[in-house]
Amino acid sequence: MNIKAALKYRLYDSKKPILIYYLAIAGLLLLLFTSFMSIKISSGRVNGMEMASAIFLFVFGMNSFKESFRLFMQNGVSRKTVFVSQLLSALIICATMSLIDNIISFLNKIIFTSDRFSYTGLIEQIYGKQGSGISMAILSFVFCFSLNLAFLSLGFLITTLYYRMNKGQKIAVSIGVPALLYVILPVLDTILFKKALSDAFGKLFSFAFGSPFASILSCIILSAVFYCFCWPLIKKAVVRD
Amino acid sequence: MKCLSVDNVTKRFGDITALSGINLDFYENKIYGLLGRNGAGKSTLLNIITGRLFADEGSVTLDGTPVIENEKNLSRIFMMSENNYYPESMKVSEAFGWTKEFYPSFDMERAYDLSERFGLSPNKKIKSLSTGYSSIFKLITALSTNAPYILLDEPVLGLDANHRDLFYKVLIEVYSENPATFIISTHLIEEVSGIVEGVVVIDAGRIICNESRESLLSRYCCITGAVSAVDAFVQDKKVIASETLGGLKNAYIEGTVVKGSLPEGLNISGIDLQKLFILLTNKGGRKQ
Repeated sequence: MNIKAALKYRLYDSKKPILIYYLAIAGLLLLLFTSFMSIKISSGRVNGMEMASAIFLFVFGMNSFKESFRLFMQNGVSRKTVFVSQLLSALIICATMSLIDNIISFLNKIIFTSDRFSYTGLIEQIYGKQGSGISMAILSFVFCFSLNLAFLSLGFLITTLYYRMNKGQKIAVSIGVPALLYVILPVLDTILFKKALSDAFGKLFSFAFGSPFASILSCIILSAVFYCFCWPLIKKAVVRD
Repeated sequence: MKCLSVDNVTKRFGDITALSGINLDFYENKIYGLLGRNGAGKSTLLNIITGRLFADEGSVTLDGTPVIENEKNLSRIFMMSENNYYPESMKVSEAFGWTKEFYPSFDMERAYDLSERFGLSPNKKIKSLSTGYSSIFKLITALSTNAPYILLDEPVLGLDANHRDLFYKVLIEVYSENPATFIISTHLIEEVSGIVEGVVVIDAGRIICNESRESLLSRYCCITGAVSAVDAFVQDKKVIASETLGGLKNAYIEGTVVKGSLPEGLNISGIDLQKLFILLTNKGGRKQ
């Protein structure tokens, strides 16, 4: 099996964009810090920068298929290895970025510690303080990891799905899904279901993401579901010019 | 005998049948020419052999075991494609390095030596290479893998005459040093005719010829002479094509003719591979 080589390539390939992302984050934090210090701002808050990582990983996932798939096909790698290496690299990348984010969050709390300026991590921002010390750090790490994984796997599913679609299907999905989510469902919900649909969705969302533990579980289940959909798509994927 | 076998492979793209019931055996350590006109199905066949495309019917095996999704077998086959499947931002040297990760027998020393001989800078990014140098980069990679089965799809695309000449020399050098099965898909039949041992001609998705170059060329000849004399001589023979120029006629026939049995005024000559290919595949244009 070429898993070791494929995984090595995926991690190598992800190094540069992740480095650029963290340089941008570092630059942004530096800018905020110097702004707070130099400009006469009475007070300021920096919250949940971990969410930026999840969004970055969504975009990263969207760019994680075509190029590497072609390289792997060129080098006699099976589709099973393409899938397994993607999954393993996703786990490693999400864990690494969660760790980095938590370290940044920890440092931010030290830096933005005055009465006027403060920093709050994502989990604390959403759910409030969930303990302290090492237990909070572990919970925050697992929470960020599961969130990152869900976003990355969703991005990967979308790009794999688009890779398998023909032009017509791409157009239909690109127009159809936003139309369904932002026009058809809200209209149906208002006219036909008398807001029952949005109420049900709200309840489901509260149930799935109502607590840090529920969120972690939901994100992991969602990631597993997304990857389950990815495998049959990769299994029958062919090299396209 | 060890071989790469294509068994009853059929591939359709919508209403078009690109390959129809293809049966082929590529034996170890031989050089094959896979010849066919544009759209004949050469690239499709090579892509199916390497598992990049799926056949609708049939199978590809290597020494009796399936190739598709079998990394043990896939690692014994390397295909140089007409298209570039390496990330464009990758440098040539990086591509060599990654190929070695997947093909541990990749000869890095040979890759750099060939790069120097062809004038390819390993520090260049793949996207910055011209069509010719892109082919050279892919050729060098293929010739350095030391895989037992190397498939070259249009290997000399965009190469100038000097580079083409060098490629044929290098191919023979590599073959002598490390014998492997080479399957060369090309339009430049005249150039590969001296190299290939086996000839596979594919036309409209069907194999119309699959034999050694020697036996193929020995089965056909050309009779030249006055129109009436040629017509009289070939009337009981299988004529595959003829050309008339003024009062002279060339009749291309399948079958052997003893030189001594020729009437006076007629000449016999062999047919070169390119001419034979044209005769076998030229049916007044192709359906798209």
